[in-house]
Amino acid sequence: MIKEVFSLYNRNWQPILIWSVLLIVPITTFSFIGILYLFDTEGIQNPTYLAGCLLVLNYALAIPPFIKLVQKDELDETMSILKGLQFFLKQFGFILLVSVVVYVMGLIGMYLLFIPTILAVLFLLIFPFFSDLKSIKDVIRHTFKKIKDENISLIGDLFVIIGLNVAIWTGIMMFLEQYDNNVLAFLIIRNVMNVFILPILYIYLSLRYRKNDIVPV
Amino acid sequence: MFEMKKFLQTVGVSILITIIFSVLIGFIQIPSYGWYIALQMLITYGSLGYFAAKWNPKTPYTSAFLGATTISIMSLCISYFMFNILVFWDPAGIGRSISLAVILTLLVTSITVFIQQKRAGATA
Repeated sequence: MIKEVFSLYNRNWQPILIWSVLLIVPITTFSFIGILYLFDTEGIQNPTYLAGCLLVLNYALAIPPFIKLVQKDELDETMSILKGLQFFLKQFGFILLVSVVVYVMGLIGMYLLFIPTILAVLFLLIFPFFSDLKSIKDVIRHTFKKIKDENISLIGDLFVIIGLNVAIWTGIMMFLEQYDNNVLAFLIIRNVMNVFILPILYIYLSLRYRKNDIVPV
Repeated sequence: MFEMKKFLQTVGVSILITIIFSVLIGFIQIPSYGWYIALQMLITYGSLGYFAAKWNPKTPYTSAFLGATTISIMSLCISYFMFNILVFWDPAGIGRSISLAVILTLLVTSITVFIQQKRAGATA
Protein backbone atom coordinates (compact mmCIF):
# COMPACT_ATOMS: atom_id res chain seq x y z
CA MET A 1 0.00 0.00 0.00
CA ILE A 2 2.77 2.46 0.93
CA LYS A 3 4.55 1.73 -2.36
CA GLU A 4 1.33 2.46 -4.27
CA VAL A 5 0.93 5.77 -2.42
CA PHE A 6 4.42 6.93 -3.30
CA SER A 7 4.12 5.90 -6.96
CA LEU A 8 0.83 7.83 -7.17
CA TYR A 9 2.53 10.84 -5.59
CA ASN A 10 5.37 10.51 -8.08
CA ARG A 11 3.02 10.40 -11.06
CA ASN A 12 0.98 13.43 -9.95
CA TRP A 13 3.49 15.62 -8.13
CA GLN A 14 2.50 18.78 -9.99
CA PRO A 15 -1.14 19.21 -8.86
CA ILE A 16 -0.34 17.86 -5.40
CA LEU A 17 2.33 20.48 -4.76
CA ILE A 18 0.20 23.31 -6.10
CA TRP A 19 -2.80 22.24 -4.01
CA SER A 20 -0.51 22.03 -1.00
CA VAL A 21 0.55 25.64 -1.48
CA LEU A 22 -2.90 26.96 -2.38
CA LEU A 23 -5.09 24.95 0.02
CA ILE A 24 -3.17 23.33 2.87
CA VAL A 25 -0.96 26.33 3.71
CA PRO A 26 -3.81 28.88 4.10
CA ILE A 27 -5.99 26.44 6.06
CA THR A 28 -3.12 25.59 8.41
CA THR A 29 -2.27 29.28 8.85
CA PHE A 30 -5.85 30.16 9.73
CA SER A 31 -6.26 27.34 12.22
CA PHE A 32 -2.86 27.92 13.89
CA ILE A 33 -3.38 31.68 14.29
CA GLY A 34 -6.94 31.02 15.47
CA ILE A 35 -5.66 28.64 18.16
CA LEU A 36 -3.04 31.17 19.30
CA TYR A 37 -5.73 33.87 19.44
CA LEU A 38 -8.07 31.65 21.46
CA PHE A 39 -5.46 30.88 24.10
CA ASP A 40 -4.31 34.51 24.32
CA THR A 41 -7.75 36.03 24.83
CA GLU A 42 -9.23 36.29 28.30
CA GLY A 43 -12.87 35.58 29.04
CA ILE A 44 -13.41 32.62 26.73
CA GLN A 45 -14.84 29.75 28.78
CA ASN A 46 -13.37 26.69 27.06
CA PRO A 47 -10.66 27.52 24.53
CA THR A 48 -9.55 23.87 24.32
CA TYR A 49 -12.80 22.68 22.75
CA LEU A 50 -12.77 25.45 20.13
CA ALA A 51 -9.11 24.69 19.37
CA GLY A 52 -10.03 21.04 18.86
CA CYS A 53 -12.70 22.11 16.39
CA LEU A 54 -10.11 24.15 14.48
CA LEU A 55 -7.74 21.15 14.39
CA VAL A 56 -10.51 18.90 13.02
CA LEU A 57 -11.26 21.47 10.32
CA ASN A 58 -7.54 21.64 9.51
CA TYR A 59 -7.60 17.89 8.84
CA ALA A 60 -10.91 17.66 6.98
CA LEU A 61 -11.20 20.68 4.69
CA ALA A 62 -8.56 19.94 2.04
CA ILE A 63 -9.56 16.34 1.33
CA PRO A 64 -11.90 16.53 -1.76
CA PRO A 65 -9.35 17.25 -4.54
CA PHE A 66 -7.26 14.28 -3.43
CA ILE A 67 -10.19 11.83 -3.68
CA LYS A 68 -10.84 13.10 -7.18
CA LEU A 69 -7.15 12.67 -8.00
CA VAL A 70 -7.13 9.04 -6.85
CA GLN A 71 -10.31 8.30 -8.79
CA LYS A 72 -8.89 9.81 -11.97
CA ASP A 73 -5.57 8.03 -11.52
CA GLU A 74 -7.35 4.69 -11.34
CA LEU A 75 -8.70 5.35 -14.85
CA ASP A 76 -5.25 6.41 -16.14
CA GLU A 77 -6.31 10.02 -16.58
CA THR A 78 -4.60 13.16 -15.39
CA MET A 79 -6.34 15.63 -13.11
CA SER A 80 -6.17 19.31 -13.96
CA ILE A 81 -5.27 21.77 -11.20
CA LEU A 82 -8.18 24.14 -11.77
CA LYS A 83 -10.72 21.30 -11.65
CA GLY A 84 -9.42 20.32 -8.23
CA LEU A 85 -9.70 23.87 -6.92
CA GLN A 86 -13.27 24.07 -8.27
CA PHE A 87 -14.11 20.79 -6.57
CA PHE A 88 -12.69 22.14 -3.29
CA LEU A 89 -14.88 25.26 -3.62
CA LYS A 90 -17.97 23.13 -4.12
CA GLN A 91 -17.36 20.80 -1.17
CA PHE A 92 -16.19 23.48 1.29
CA GLY A 93 -19.55 24.37 2.82
CA PHE A 94 -20.71 20.78 3.18
CA ILE A 95 -17.57 19.65 5.02
CA LEU A 96 -17.43 22.81 7.17
CA LEU A 97 -21.02 22.72 8.39
CA VAL A 98 -21.30 18.95 8.81
CA SER A 99 -18.04 18.64 10.73
CA VAL A 100 -18.93 21.53 13.06
CA VAL A 101 -22.35 20.01 13.78
CA VAL A 102 -20.92 16.52 14.36
CA TYR A 103 -18.17 17.95 16.58
CA VAL A 104 -20.74 19.74 18.73
CA MET A 105 -22.75 16.51 18.97
CA GLY A 106 -19.62 14.67 20.09
CA LEU A 107 -18.93 17.32 22.73
CA ILE A 108 -22.46 17.05 24.13
CA GLY A 109 -22.14 13.27 24.03
CA MET A 110 -19.39 13.35 26.63
CA TYR A 111 -22.11 13.21 29.28
CA LEU A 112 -23.32 9.86 27.88
CA LEU A 113 -20.25 7.77 28.78
CA PHE A 114 -18.30 8.96 25.69
CA ILE A 115 -20.19 6.59 23.36
CA PRO A 116 -21.48 9.32 20.99
CA THR A 117 -18.04 10.92 21.14
CA ILE A 118 -16.33 7.82 19.78
CA LEU A 119 -18.95 7.53 17.03
CA ALA A 120 -18.51 11.23 16.19
CA VAL A 121 -14.71 10.87 15.98
CA LEU A 122 -15.02 7.89 13.61
CA PHE A 123 -17.60 9.78 11.54
CA LEU A 124 -15.30 12.82 11.32
CA LEU A 125 -12.44 10.55 10.26
CA ILE A 126 -14.33 8.88 7.41
CA PHE A 127 -17.09 11.15 6.06
CA PRO A 128 -14.86 13.61 4.09
CA PHE A 129 -13.75 10.70 1.90
CA PHE A 130 -17.35 10.12 0.82
CA SER A 131 -18.21 13.79 0.37
CA ASP A 132 -18.29 13.63 -3.43
CA LEU A 133 -21.48 11.52 -3.47
CA LYS A 134 -24.67 13.15 -4.71
CA SER A 135 -26.92 13.31 -1.65
CA ILE A 136 -26.31 13.67 2.08
CA LYS A 137 -28.25 10.47 2.80
CA ASP A 138 -25.78 8.52 0.65
CA VAL A 139 -22.81 10.05 2.47
CA ILE A 140 -24.16 9.09 5.89
CA ARG A 141 -25.16 5.58 4.76
CA HIS A 142 -21.79 4.83 3.16
CA THR A 143 -19.93 6.21 6.17
CA PHE A 144 -21.77 4.02 8.67
CA LYS A 145 -21.38 1.02 6.35
CA LYS A 146 -17.62 1.63 6.28
CA ILE A 147 -17.51 1.97 10.08
CA LYS A 148 -19.32 -1.39 10.39
CA ASP A 149 -17.04 -3.12 7.86
CA GLU A 150 -13.72 -1.94 9.19
CA ASN A 151 -14.64 -1.69 12.82
CA ILE A 152 -11.50 -2.41 14.85
CA SER A 153 -8.87 -1.44 12.28
CA LEU A 154 -10.13 2.16 12.26
CA ILE A 155 -8.44 2.58 15.63
CA GLY A 156 -5.15 1.95 13.82
CA ASP A 157 -5.86 4.75 11.35
CA LEU A 158 -6.77 7.11 14.18
CA PHE A 159 -3.53 6.22 15.98
CA VAL A 160 -1.53 6.85 12.81
CA ILE A 161 -3.07 10.29 12.26
CA ILE A 162 -2.93 11.48 15.88
CA GLY A 163 0.44 9.84 16.44
CA LEU A 164 2.02 11.46 13.41
CA ASN A 165 0.83 14.88 14.51
CA VAL A 166 1.74 14.45 18.16
CA ALA A 167 5.04 12.61 17.71
CA ILE A 168 6.47 14.79 14.95
CA TRP A 169 5.23 18.05 16.47
CA THR A 170 6.56 17.22 19.96
CA GLY A 171 9.82 15.95 18.49
CA ILE A 172 10.38 19.16 16.56
CA MET A 173 9.36 21.23 19.58
CA MET A 174 11.75 19.41 21.96
CA PHE A 175 14.56 20.22 19.58
CA LEU A 176 13.54 23.82 18.87
CA GLU A 177 12.46 24.87 22.35
CA GLN A 178 15.98 25.91 23.36
CA TYR A 179 16.14 28.67 20.73
CA ASP A 180 14.36 32.02 20.77
CA ASN A 181 11.57 31.50 18.27
CA ASN A 182 8.66 33.78 17.46
CA VAL A 183 5.18 33.01 16.12
CA LEU A 184 6.25 33.23 12.49
CA ALA A 185 8.90 30.52 12.92
CA PHE A 186 6.41 28.15 14.58
CA LEU A 187 3.87 28.92 11.84
CA ILE A 188 6.35 28.11 9.07
CA ILE A 189 7.43 24.86 10.78
CA ARG A 190 3.81 23.79 11.19
CA ASN A 191 3.02 24.63 7.55
CA VAL A 192 6.00 22.65 6.28
CA MET A 193 5.05 19.68 8.46
CA ASN A 194 1.47 19.67 7.21
CA VAL A 195 2.55 20.05 3.57
CA PHE A 196 4.78 16.99 3.97
CA ILE A 197 2.38 14.77 5.89
CA LEU A 198 -1.19 15.57 4.86
CA PRO A 199 -1.11 14.76 1.08
CA ILE A 200 0.45 11.34 1.73
CA LEU A 201 -2.12 10.68 4.45
CA TYR A 202 -5.03 11.76 2.23
CA ILE A 203 -3.90 9.57 -0.67
CA TYR A 204 -3.35 6.60 1.64
CA LEU A 205 -6.74 6.92 3.30
CA SER A 206 -8.65 7.51 0.07
CA LEU A 207 -6.99 4.45 -1.48
CA ARG A 208 -7.98 2.53 1.63
CA TYR A 209 -11.60 3.62 1.86
CA ARG A 210 -12.55 4.17 -1.78
CA LYS A 211 -10.58 1.40 -3.50
CA ASN A 212 -13.48 -0.98 -4.09
CA ASP A 213 -16.20 1.44 -5.18
CA ILE A 214 -14.41 3.87 -7.38
CA VAL A 215 -17.15 5.37 -9.49
CA PRO A 216 -16.30 8.50 -11.47
CA VAL A 217 -18.96 11.11 -10.85
CA MET B 1 -36.98 20.31 -5.49
CA PHE B 2 -34.89 21.94 -2.80
CA GLU B 3 -31.40 20.37 -2.89
CA MET B 4 -29.69 20.34 0.51
CA LYS B 5 -26.18 19.71 -0.84
CA LYS B 6 -26.40 22.60 -3.30
CA PHE B 7 -27.66 24.81 -0.46
CA LEU B 8 -24.65 23.92 1.73
CA GLN B 9 -22.42 24.55 -1.29
CA THR B 10 -23.90 28.04 -1.65
CA VAL B 11 -23.31 28.88 2.01
CA GLY B 12 -19.74 27.57 1.87
CA VAL B 13 -18.79 29.52 -1.25
CA SER B 14 -20.23 32.69 0.29
CA ILE B 15 -18.16 32.16 3.47
CA LEU B 16 -15.00 31.48 1.42
CA ILE B 17 -15.50 34.63 -0.68
CA THR B 18 -15.92 36.66 2.52
CA ILE B 19 -12.71 35.22 4.02
CA ILE B 20 -10.63 35.88 0.87
CA PHE B 21 -12.08 39.37 0.46
CA SER B 22 -11.42 40.26 4.11
CA VAL B 23 -7.80 39.11 3.86
CA LEU B 24 -7.30 41.14 0.68
CA ILE B 25 -8.95 44.26 2.05
CA GLY B 26 -6.84 44.01 5.20
CA PHE B 27 -3.83 45.17 3.20
CA ILE B 28 -5.58 48.45 2.39
CA GLN B 29 -6.24 50.23 5.65
CA ILE B 30 -9.74 51.68 5.58
CA PRO B 31 -10.01 54.39 8.25
CA SER B 32 -13.65 53.88 9.27
CA TYR B 33 -15.08 50.58 10.48
CA GLY B 34 -18.53 51.39 9.15
CA TRP B 35 -17.43 51.32 5.54
CA TYR B 36 -15.46 48.12 6.14
CA ILE B 37 -18.43 46.29 7.65
CA ALA B 38 -20.82 47.60 5.00
CA LEU B 39 -18.50 46.38 2.22
CA GLN B 40 -18.12 42.98 3.87
CA MET B 41 -21.87 42.63 4.32
CA LEU B 42 -22.51 43.59 0.71
CA ILE B 43 -20.00 41.02 -0.56
CA THR B 44 -21.22 38.18 1.71
CA TYR B 45 -24.94 38.48 1.18
CA GLY B 46 -24.63 39.61 -2.43
CA SER B 47 -22.66 36.51 -3.37
CA LEU B 48 -25.05 34.38 -1.31
CA GLY B 49 -28.06 35.73 -3.20
CA TYR B 50 -26.38 35.33 -6.58
CA PHE B 51 -25.27 31.74 -6.02
CA ALA B 52 -28.59 30.78 -4.43
CA ALA B 53 -30.34 31.76 -7.65
CA LYS B 54 -27.66 30.09 -9.78
CA TRP B 55 -27.33 26.71 -8.06
CA ASN B 56 -30.88 26.21 -6.80
CA PRO B 57 -32.90 27.39 -9.80
CA LYS B 58 -36.11 25.57 -8.77
CA THR B 59 -36.37 27.19 -5.30
CA PRO B 60 -34.18 30.33 -5.29
CA TYR B 61 -36.04 32.33 -2.62
CA THR B 62 -36.21 29.51 -0.05
CA SER B 63 -32.52 28.84 -0.49
CA ALA B 64 -31.64 32.55 -0.19
CA PHE B 65 -33.76 33.05 2.95
CA LEU B 66 -32.42 29.94 4.72
CA GLY B 67 -28.84 30.80 3.75
CA ALA B 68 -29.11 34.38 5.02
CA THR B 69 -30.54 33.30 8.38
CA THR B 70 -27.94 30.52 8.70
CA ILE B 71 -24.99 32.82 8.03
CA SER B 72 -26.20 35.61 10.31
CA ILE B 73 -26.93 33.20 13.20
CA MET B 74 -23.52 31.57 12.67
CA SER B 75 -21.79 34.95 12.81
CA LEU B 76 -23.69 35.84 16.01
CA CYS B 77 -22.67 32.54 17.62
CA ILE B 78 -19.03 32.98 16.57
CA SER B 79 -18.89 36.52 17.95
CA TYR B 80 -20.42 35.32 21.24
CA PHE B 81 -18.40 32.13 21.78
CA MET B 82 -15.10 32.91 20.04
CA PHE B 83 -14.65 36.68 20.29
CA ASN B 84 -16.49 37.09 23.59
CA ILE B 85 -18.74 39.95 22.42
CA LEU B 86 -21.99 39.88 24.35
CA VAL B 87 -24.32 40.15 21.35
CA PHE B 88 -27.19 38.24 22.91
CA TRP B 89 -27.84 41.07 25.38
CA ASP B 90 -29.16 43.23 22.57
CA PRO B 91 -32.25 41.64 20.97
CA ALA B 92 -33.00 44.70 18.83
CA GLY B 93 -29.54 44.46 17.29
CA ILE B 94 -30.05 40.78 16.45
CA GLY B 95 -33.37 41.54 14.79
CA ARG B 96 -31.83 44.41 12.83
CA SER B 97 -28.89 42.34 11.58
CA ILE B 98 -30.99 39.35 10.55
CA SER B 99 -33.60 41.47 8.78
CA LEU B 100 -30.93 43.49 6.95
CA ALA B 101 -29.25 40.25 5.81
CA VAL B 102 -32.50 38.71 4.61
CA ILE B 103 -33.59 41.87 2.77
CA LEU B 104 -30.23 42.25 1.00
CA THR B 105 -30.07 38.57 -0.02
CA LEU B 106 -33.64 38.46 -1.30
CA LEU B 107 -33.04 41.69 -3.27
CA VAL B 108 -29.98 40.24 -5.03
CA THR B 109 -31.79 36.94 -5.66
CA SER B 110 -34.81 38.64 -7.19
CA ILE B 111 -32.58 40.76 -9.44
CA THR B 112 -30.69 37.63 -10.56
CA VAL B 113 -33.92 35.71 -11.23
CA PHE B 114 -35.27 38.69 -13.19
CA ILE B 115 -32.10 38.80 -15.35
CA GLN B 116 -32.24 35.02 -15.90
CA GLN B 117 -35.85 35.22 -17.04
CA LYS B 118 -35.07 38.15 -19.36
CA ARG B 119 -32.18 36.19 -20.89
CA ALA B 120 -34.26 33.04 -21.33
CA GLY B 121 -36.97 35.11 -22.96
CA ALA B 122 -34.47 36.81 -25.30
CA THR B 123 -32.98 33.55 -26.53
CA ALA B 124 -36.25 31.66 -26.91
